[in-house]
Amino acid sequence: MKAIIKKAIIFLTCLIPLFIMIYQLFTNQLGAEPVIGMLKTTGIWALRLLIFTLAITPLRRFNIANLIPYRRMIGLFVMFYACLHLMIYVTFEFSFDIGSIAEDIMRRKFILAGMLAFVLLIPLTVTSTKSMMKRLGKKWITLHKSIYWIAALASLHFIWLVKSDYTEPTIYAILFVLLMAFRMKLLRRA
Amino acid sequence: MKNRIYSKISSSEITSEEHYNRRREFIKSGLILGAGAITADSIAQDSSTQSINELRENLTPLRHIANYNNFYEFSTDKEAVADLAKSFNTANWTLNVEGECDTPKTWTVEELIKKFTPEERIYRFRCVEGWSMVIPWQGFELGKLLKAANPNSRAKYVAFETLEDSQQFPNQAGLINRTGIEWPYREGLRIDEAMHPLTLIATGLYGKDSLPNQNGAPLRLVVPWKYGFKSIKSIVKITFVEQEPLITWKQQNHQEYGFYSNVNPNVSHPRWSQAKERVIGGGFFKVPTKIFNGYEEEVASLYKGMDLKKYF
Repeated sequence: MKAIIKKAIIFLTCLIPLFIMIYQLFTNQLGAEPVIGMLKTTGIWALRLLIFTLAITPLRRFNIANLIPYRRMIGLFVMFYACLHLMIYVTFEFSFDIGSIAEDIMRRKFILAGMLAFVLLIPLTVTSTKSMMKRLGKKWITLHKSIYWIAALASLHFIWLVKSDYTEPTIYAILFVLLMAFRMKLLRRA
Repeated sequence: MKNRIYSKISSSEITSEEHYNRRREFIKSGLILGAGAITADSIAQDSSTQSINELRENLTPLRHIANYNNFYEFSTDKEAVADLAKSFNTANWTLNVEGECDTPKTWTVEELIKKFTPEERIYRFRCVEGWSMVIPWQGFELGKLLKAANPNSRAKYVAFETLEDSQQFPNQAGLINRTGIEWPYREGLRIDEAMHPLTLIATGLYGKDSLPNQNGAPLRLVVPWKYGFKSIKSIVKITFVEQEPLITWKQQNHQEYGFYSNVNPNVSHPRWSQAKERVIGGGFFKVPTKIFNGYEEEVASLYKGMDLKKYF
């Protein structure tokens, strides 16, 4: 299959959760609290895709799949869903009230973790182009290693927001830890 | 206590929301307006009739009331509870009233309904998670039931317990308790809070004589000025006690949940800002939360001189 077609398929696949969400929104299938439903969908897909980008190296290592050419695009979809997530929060949870949002960040550690993860995603998004890669050289790699911190913060964001049943955030945290363990091992070998 | 905070409309065999709404139209046409005003709104400038109508106009649709439930014995997913609760068996249910009282008694639901004729109460309901509903309950004042037990002078608090039954509650079965909650679910009120005329034992809603299982059938506490988790569901035991009982959510996380848990927009919660709430079925944006959930006039005197930030 041609690379461009593969890319198009992955692009559209990444959009499926959004399309489903929009469909549910207009058919009243998002339940009693559509805003919470949208926050959950956009948040969980940002996290899933983020974990997935971390899995791309091991997937190639174990000869399962080579998705390296699409990693940047998937990474940009992480930002895409994170942006939607933040926009919904700012719009419907706080009606753009900056003061209250600032207070929320200071008061609630899960909001702080989420915000930090988002802020750290910005430089990675800005430097995702080929020309930036060239311009930054080795620094680019160092900079983009911050994705590990972002993933850690995103996992914490999820764990800290949960009221009791920690099953779901624990699954993502374990996946993250396993993927990190894989990298540590890789580093030690090198 | 002023009479105007209650709804005195007797229930009939009305089953659906549609029927209920039709009756509402009938009521609105003026027949009932003289028969004891109904309101739970404390806005001073509101005439009571306006307030009743305001709440009536804004009733949360039954489909939301019956499909958005925090009932961790079934599931931590609010939208999964209704389905899981379908086969919940409430037949031969009994309620024990015991502890520091002279006449403890085991009641059947039928006896309770016969003795303390349920009436309609339209209350605002505010969840600690930041959402709210307006619910037309059927029920009777808890105070009437408590008085029937003749509490003694050591009865300073009232403790409540939900049924514990691993055969019926999926989250009480199995090896791993995903909720982290130590069963049975327990709640408590100070005796004056429990005796307050707003405090209700709900036996039905939307004109029906029984509660949907997922809403806490067959007997459920309703304390409209406190966060929803205080309104304990499917009660099997009420105990008069001398010391403040340890309630489930305080035991779970005492930094986040207090014994009182009065609705208060000025006391922030580590997880959710309490300044605003989202009205279920009422749009995407949040609206300001009122102190004591709008029942300030009726209940503020219970907490005179107390630091509500300390006793949250």
